[in-house]
Amino acid sequence: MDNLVQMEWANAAGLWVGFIFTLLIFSALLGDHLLARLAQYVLVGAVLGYAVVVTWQSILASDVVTSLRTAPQEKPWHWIPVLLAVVMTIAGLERIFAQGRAPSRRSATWGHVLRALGAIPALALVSIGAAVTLVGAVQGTLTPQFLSAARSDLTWGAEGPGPITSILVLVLTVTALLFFVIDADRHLEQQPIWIQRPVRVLLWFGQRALWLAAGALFARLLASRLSLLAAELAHWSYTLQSTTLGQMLERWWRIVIGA
Amino acid sequence: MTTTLCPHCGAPNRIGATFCNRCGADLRAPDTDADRLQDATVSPGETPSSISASGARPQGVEGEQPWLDPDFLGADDVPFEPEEEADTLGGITPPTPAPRLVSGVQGLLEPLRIAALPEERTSSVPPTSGESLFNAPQMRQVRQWMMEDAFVGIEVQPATSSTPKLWLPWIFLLMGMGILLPLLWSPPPLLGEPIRWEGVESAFQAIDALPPGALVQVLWAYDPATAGEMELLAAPVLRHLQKRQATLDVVSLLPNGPATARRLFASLAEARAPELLEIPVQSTIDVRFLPGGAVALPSLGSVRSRLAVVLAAQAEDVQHWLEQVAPLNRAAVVAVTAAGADPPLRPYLQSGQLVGLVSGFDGAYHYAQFLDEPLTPAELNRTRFQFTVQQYGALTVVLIIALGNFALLLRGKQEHG
Repeated sequence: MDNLVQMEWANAAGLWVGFIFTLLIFSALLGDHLLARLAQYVLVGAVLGYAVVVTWQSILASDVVTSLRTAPQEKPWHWIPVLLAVVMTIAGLERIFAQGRAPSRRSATWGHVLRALGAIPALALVSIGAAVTLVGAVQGTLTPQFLSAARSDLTWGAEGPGPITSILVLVLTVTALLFFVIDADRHLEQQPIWIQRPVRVLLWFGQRALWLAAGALFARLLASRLSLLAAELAHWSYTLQSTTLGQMLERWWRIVIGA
Repeated sequence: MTTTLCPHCGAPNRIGATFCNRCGADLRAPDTDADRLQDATVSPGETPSSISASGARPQGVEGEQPWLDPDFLGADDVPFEPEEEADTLGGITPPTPAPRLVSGVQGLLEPLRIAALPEERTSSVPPTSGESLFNAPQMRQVRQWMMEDAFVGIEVQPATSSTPKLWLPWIFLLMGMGILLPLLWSPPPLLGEPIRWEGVESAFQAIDALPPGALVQVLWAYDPATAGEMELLAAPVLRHLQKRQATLDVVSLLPNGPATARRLFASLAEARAPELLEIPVQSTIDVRFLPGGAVALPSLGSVRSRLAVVLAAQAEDVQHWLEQVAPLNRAAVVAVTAAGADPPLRPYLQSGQLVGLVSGFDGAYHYAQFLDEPLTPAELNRTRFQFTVQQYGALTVVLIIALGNFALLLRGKQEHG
């Protein structure tokens, strides 16, 4: 029972803290002021703090760390990532604490050595990340998308919207690419008129295709944000209605509108 | 107090100063011939004029470059930070300033007028002795401008009179009214229903075809920031998965993801429909956080699952799954995304890499229709509320765009007669 009461109290406190902080951040519309900034700092700090704790817990629970804690000598190669992490941490700390201080000759030498060692895990991270991303882009996006686009279902004489759609996709894709590549003022000025005119028409279509795509993106993004807003309003509305204050406000509002 | 003379303008500066207080010249520059000739220090009690009189400065320099003389009262000098100078020089009054920012350019040329502020041109009254035209922050700003490279890349187009002036709060006000007023007065919902996009039905069929106990990977790629929209989508899909008795393996790359997932699973368990109570579901759903971002995703490729469901607010998270995991385990992928992520993912649906795509409020609405489950009164109210806000919000935006275009059209007609 006590736990239940505490949970309800915590939920209510969370609701009101969230409401107040939402208003504070929203008040930034009126200009930059101390309370709006305070709310933003608290938000960022809380998110970062929570992220650090969750990351730390997940690292401790990872297979590598668990196996090292239970049997440190069983899989010695598991020590390699730990060693790299320690080196990177020390090198990073050295760079942080060395800022703004005139180094002695000895500390400068140590600093160079640490930075060189710290570069090894940093480079490994960057290179592995780049390789994974590149391979993934080729195998998951470029190749399948190219094969899909190159496989045309266009059949002459076929009925229905299929052929029209295929032609439209082809034309819009080509013209949009042309619009990106060709600068009309620079590339077409020296060309004969019989080249200039058709290319300008294609560029015109390409520009409209891009506008259309941007419009579709904007419309869906807007729908997305409206959904977010509606969900928040619904949450506040139903939470407030369940409180005494909410019921009082509802009665008052019904009197005002004569319902 | 010991001072050093500026090699360019001859003004006394304190020892160790980086720039001349009067002309801004770099006092750290290596000695030139002129520097060697005029490099001299004065001790406390000595005035710069005494040095000049004592012959420390070579003859002839002042004749060709009179601004090198510390007593030079030319019409071009502006003392930089005169208050500090007066303080450090023990009360020596700097020369009378004139409206010039930089003067005494080294050499035999006439001092060059490099920069001037608009006030200079309008003011005909010279400042009095010891009075600076600019305060210290202004002077620092001017120095900053002069240190920067000339910015010639973009030509700034001045606003033409035909551009309608927009007061941004109007848009917020109109949007607020468009959404809040219909809610307060509870108008009837507009005609029609949400659009049924391609991909919703195929997503439903892919999940509906799962055998009991099938392993389904779930990538939880949203956090509380987008939970308002995403929970509308995730709830019916997860309820369907539970109805099919799927075994869920839930992973998140976001630190806040697991907590968001647990909260939704708890609310689903709490609100289970009576007809589903007899169906056994996974007793505990372990939601893991996988640190390392998209680079860590290939480690999930070894899981042999029947289906993967990606719950994502951004299109990139679905793309990462399709690039890093789907080619490895070849499991079919259903994307459940925010409406804004829908357009970039359509090509993946058409290429067959996605077997289903459920996006936005409209996708959630139709997926719930496919489930064919009676809604609770609370769910019904919430759906109606959501539908009303979506419709009136979209209508308001259309109105704003139309008004903006109308204003532009009217202004253009007025401009052109």
